[in-house]
Amino acid sequence: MSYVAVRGGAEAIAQSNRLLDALRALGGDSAAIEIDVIERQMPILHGRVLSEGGLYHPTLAALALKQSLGDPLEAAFMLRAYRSTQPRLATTPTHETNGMRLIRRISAAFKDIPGGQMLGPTPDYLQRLFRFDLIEEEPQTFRDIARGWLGNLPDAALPTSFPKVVDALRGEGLLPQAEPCDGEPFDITRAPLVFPVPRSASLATMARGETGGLLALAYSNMRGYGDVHPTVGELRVGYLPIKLPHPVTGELIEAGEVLMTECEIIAMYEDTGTSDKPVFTLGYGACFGHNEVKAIAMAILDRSMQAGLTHGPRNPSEDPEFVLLHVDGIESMGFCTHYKMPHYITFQSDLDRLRTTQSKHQAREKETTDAR
Amino acid sequence: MTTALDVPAIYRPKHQQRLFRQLLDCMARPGSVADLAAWTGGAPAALAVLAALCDSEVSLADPQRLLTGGDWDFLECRQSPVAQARFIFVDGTTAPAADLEPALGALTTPEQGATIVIRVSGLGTTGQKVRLSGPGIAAQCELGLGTLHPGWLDQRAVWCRFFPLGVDLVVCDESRVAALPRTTRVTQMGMHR
Amino acid sequence: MTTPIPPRSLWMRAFAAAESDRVLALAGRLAIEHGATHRSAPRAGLALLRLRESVMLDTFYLGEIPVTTARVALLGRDGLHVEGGAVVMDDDVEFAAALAVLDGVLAHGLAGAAEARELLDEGLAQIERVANVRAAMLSRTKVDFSLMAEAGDDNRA
Repeated sequence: MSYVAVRGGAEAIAQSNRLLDALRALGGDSAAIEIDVIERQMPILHGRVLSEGGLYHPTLAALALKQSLGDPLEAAFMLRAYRSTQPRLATTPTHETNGMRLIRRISAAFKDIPGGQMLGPTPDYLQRLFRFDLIEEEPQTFRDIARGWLGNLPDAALPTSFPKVVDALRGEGLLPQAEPCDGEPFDITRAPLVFPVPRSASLATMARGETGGLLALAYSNMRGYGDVHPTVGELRVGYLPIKLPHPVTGELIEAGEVLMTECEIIAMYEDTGTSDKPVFTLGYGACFGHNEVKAIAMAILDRSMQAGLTHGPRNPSEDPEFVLLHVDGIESMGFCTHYKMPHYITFQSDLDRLRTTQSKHQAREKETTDAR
Repeated sequence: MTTALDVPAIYRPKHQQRLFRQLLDCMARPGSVADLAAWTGGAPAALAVLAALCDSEVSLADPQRLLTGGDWDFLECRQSPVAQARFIFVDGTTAPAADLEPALGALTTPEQGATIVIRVSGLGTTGQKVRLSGPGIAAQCELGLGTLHPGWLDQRAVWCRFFPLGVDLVVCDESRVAALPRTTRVTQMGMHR
Repeated sequence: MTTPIPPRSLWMRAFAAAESDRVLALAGRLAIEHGATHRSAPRAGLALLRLRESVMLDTFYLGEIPVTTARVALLGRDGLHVEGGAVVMDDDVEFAAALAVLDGVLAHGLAGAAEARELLDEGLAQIERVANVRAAMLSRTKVDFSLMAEAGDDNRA
């Protein structure tokens, strides 16, 4: 590919930037959308930007959505651009997710999980029918929704942290025994993926991967280009308390919380071919925000890539290189949109080649005709 | 918040950005001397340069123990032996210690060569005079290195003899700074009067 | 004070949950009163969040979080310096410095500790309100399984 500098677009670009901003305000007298309205009333979209941007900064994620006119890819790109300007102050100690303060927790494997199943907020049981009354929602009616729900809250805080289903299964010997591994995880923000990569690189890449990309590849496995056949062992949504050392005492203290989704899938059991007894295999998915499709898709891909490492990849979703290099939203969107940039020289050379080939073709045709 | 809790000037991000810009300009135009006083709040220029360059992710060697404990608390960089340090802080009025062996980088990683921040006085006009040429200099220019001991220039010639390996020098007096990146050719001219 | 003071490890969360204008105002006043100075440069930046996944117990980085730290020195009653610190998921260094002042004042029982304690209690109450709402999200949506054979068509019948 070759590049050539062209000029003349400066004024058009400046005006285009202006227009993009004006688009928010043109054609209506509605007020500018408030940052905290995006955060509170579009939490799912907002969470998607947090996770795909790879930075848990709720205010900036909402601002990014406002600035990008609601484009989650552009918004995540802004978070990535911002994070690249920030100093790295610390790496947190290892966080265990059994301390998560849950708002939702379900299992598709067992109905009676210790602590019980709690649906929390979910669209799973909606019929996807429109509620036309929301088109014109009176402020008073809107406030009454919250007031109504908050009425008669139990006084004492009930527990919101529960043991994990996989831990119980492991206790029963149905899952492979695992020893905590405390090696330094792969930092995808600083090092490029050179295959084969450790599982920590794979998990980190998927945790900030684009939801649609992860889903497409996981779906290929679900439909038959693979055989994970997952059962959701547990799906949890909740707030993970973040612990960091106190600057004076060094004691770990809670510095804030992160809303996250976590999923463990249980897949087909494998006979290892050794003397070990057969056990279920597992996959893990987690991401910032409330994003169940992403967490489940990631868990399936984690499992399928593990299978690929064991048996050699038999389909795209089992090939780490195929999966991990194609699920990043910023990378794939960037490559896709770069085709809009001027390629005048490369295209000119394509044209030249085509014309040369065409004239050679013509000459050959003529020779053939003349020979007759 | 309050005047009681003012952060020292050289540790405020805005000031550090200005300091960094000055340093960048000095690196780009060897021989030029920048006065940092407007952004140091009275702190020595060498400390201001370190504040602009260092954070918790880099290593700094202080073989002559010129920095106080408080300086280290604010700089937050890792203390390191000279040979492994990315930055080295020394006083230049005496000859370099015989065992001072800074990292010079490797052919594949020349950026790992150390940056040495040298404290002198009377930079720019007095003392050890040098003629400079090379990238960033139109033809050649002259620079007075104040109280810098000529031994440092001899050592620099040794450290920088296999370009792109080498060290970059940042020379500071009380408030001013000049840079001698490894690309600069230095000819010693004797002393200013 | 009737209730014992909660451990220092809970203070940061509580102060951060209190009304931020009041935190800044009180800390600003106490900073002057106790001659507060920074012990290190307050910093705003990012931290990598290291997580243990629950399947193979590997660790990995879930992503990054904003972090601000501050460490201040305050003049104690006996004329010696005492320290307060703050580390909070935020990017406002002034707020972190304010939390560090309150942390130091409360930890060392300096003048103003009672007011700091009030803000602490206010923050704790706010945390409890949030916890109650979350607990209700769970308790109100808890599935009450029963077998169809026993319960008829509807599991609540």
